[in-house]
Amino acid sequence: MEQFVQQLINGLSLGTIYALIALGYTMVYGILRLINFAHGDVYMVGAFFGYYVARFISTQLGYVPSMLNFFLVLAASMAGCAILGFVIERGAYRPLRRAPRLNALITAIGISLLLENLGQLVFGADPKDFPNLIPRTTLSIGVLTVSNIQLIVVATAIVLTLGLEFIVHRTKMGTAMRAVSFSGDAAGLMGININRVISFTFVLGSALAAAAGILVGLYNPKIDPLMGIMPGLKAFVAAVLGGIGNIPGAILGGLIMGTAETFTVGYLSSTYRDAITFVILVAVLLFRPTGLLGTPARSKF
Amino acid sequence: MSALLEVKDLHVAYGAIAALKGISFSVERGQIVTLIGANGAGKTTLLRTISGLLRPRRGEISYWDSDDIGKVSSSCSLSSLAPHLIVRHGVAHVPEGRIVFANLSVRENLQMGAYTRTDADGIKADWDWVLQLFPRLSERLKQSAGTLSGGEQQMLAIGRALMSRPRLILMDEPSLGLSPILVQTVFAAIRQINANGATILLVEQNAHMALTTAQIGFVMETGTIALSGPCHELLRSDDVRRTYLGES
Ligand SMILES: Nc1ncnc2c1ncn2[C@@H]1O[C@H](COP(=O)(O)OP(=O)(O)OP(=O)(O)O)[C@@H](O)[C@H]1O
Ligand SMILES: [Mg+2]
Repeated sequence: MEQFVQQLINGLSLGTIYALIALGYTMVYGILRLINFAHGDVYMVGAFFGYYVARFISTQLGYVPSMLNFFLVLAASMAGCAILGFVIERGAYRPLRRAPRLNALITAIGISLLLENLGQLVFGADPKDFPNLIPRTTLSIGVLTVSNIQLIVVATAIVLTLGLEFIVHRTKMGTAMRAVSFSGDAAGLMGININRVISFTFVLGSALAAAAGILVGLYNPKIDPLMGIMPGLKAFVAAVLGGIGNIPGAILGGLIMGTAETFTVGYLSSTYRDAITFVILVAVLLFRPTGLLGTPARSKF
Repeated sequence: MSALLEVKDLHVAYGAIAALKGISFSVERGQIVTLIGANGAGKTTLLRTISGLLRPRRGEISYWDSDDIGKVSSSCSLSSLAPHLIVRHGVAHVPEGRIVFANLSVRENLQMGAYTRTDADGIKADWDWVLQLFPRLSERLKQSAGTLSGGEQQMLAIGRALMSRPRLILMDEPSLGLSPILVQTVFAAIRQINANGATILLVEQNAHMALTTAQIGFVMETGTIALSGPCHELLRSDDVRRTYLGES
């Protein structure tokens, strides 16, 4: 029983990271019906932004690990990836807006490979140790142990998700996003500049991916230029599992993926850590292709 | 009277299929003008081209902008503008099939109608007016638009268009699929909207209602305008009576 609860805690904190990445997949899909395969690599770049900002802060400004340090790194990396997402959409996807969807998909794979190889060139192929942003402590609750890092990861993810929820449901831009996801034509007739909405969606999704990159750096402090591939794939499966295009679905899917992973490692074998992703993907595609919360209708948010 | 919209020699194609083959007509300020024609004649294509959703191969769409008191300020070409810019000139489009945002509430749909505006007082006035025009919407503001009945969705689609305070409203078959009583409601609303100052370009299958409501009519046939004139004359024309009014 203790092991079960312990695995659940570990799984949910891992799942929040998948959920943050899955949100970007699902939002872009909701707006453009495009699977942005470069999204996992944006997450990787987010982790590296964090790495360099953290090093700059500690060497140039002499900060010691603290919450402030963490917030600075998080904000800088989110801003950096927001710009990256904006540039990717502008440069790679927008010129193909009227082309067949397959062209955009192939381009997405191309951008993904580009970021991975550019990453190896610029950052080096060797794994790097993500700096220690926050002093680590562990809390014991009875027989369970929770690290402060896990709590910070989960709390950050919750705050970001609530922020996203606020933007999507309470602001004019968010309402426009939902309108575009339903019908770009009708949204255009309202005076909504669809290109602006698409840019905004990429900015938002990429910033969330960057946050996931920082959180994973706290949690699992080795980063390398190919680190985005597996989590990107898992987050994609999470988005499909929740119902691609559906925001609550992406969160639910992420949490399920994280939990499934830690349970597989805990009860079966760590060999199957990644295999479980594909088992889930195949199961979803066979039994519930629209995902848990997805609807076959055109409405996507 | 002065022209509000003038279309000249408009050609539109879908790939190799020509849908509009040289359409010319104009709409005078303050009128209700109707476009009737068989299925596939190109009516929807014409409205979608005016509102910027389709690009013409050839031809010109001119629009005379004016301020709120009707003073004409300038003429501009709509044929190269994106839809979201055309709305800002005061052209609204109630699309075929309504296309209300089913995933948004009724309130949010109306708010999206006013997306380009910042004049809070004006928006409030139009909001009140739309809900007075369609009281059924005011009971359903929180409901998601996808759960509305077909008639209510049509009211919402019209109300949403009005929220941009348009000077020209393009309406694509607003009576389609409505019960006779709702058709009356919708046409009554169209007359009221026009009385309130907006010019209306109305595409209709219900030729009888359209020709008795509008002042000027155009009959489209396979991408061209076959017949045009004051509606009372079209109503007397044998051609129109046989083909569109179902008389023998
Ligand atoms: N997306 C499209 N791709 C190819 N052809 C199209 C497309 N949309 C319309 N068409 C063709 O263009 C022609 C005009 O269509 P349009 O929808 O404008 O007619 P309509 O007068 O509105 O008809 P209805 O009364 O049925 O609504 C038709 O022959 C139609 O088949
Ligand atoms: Mg039509």
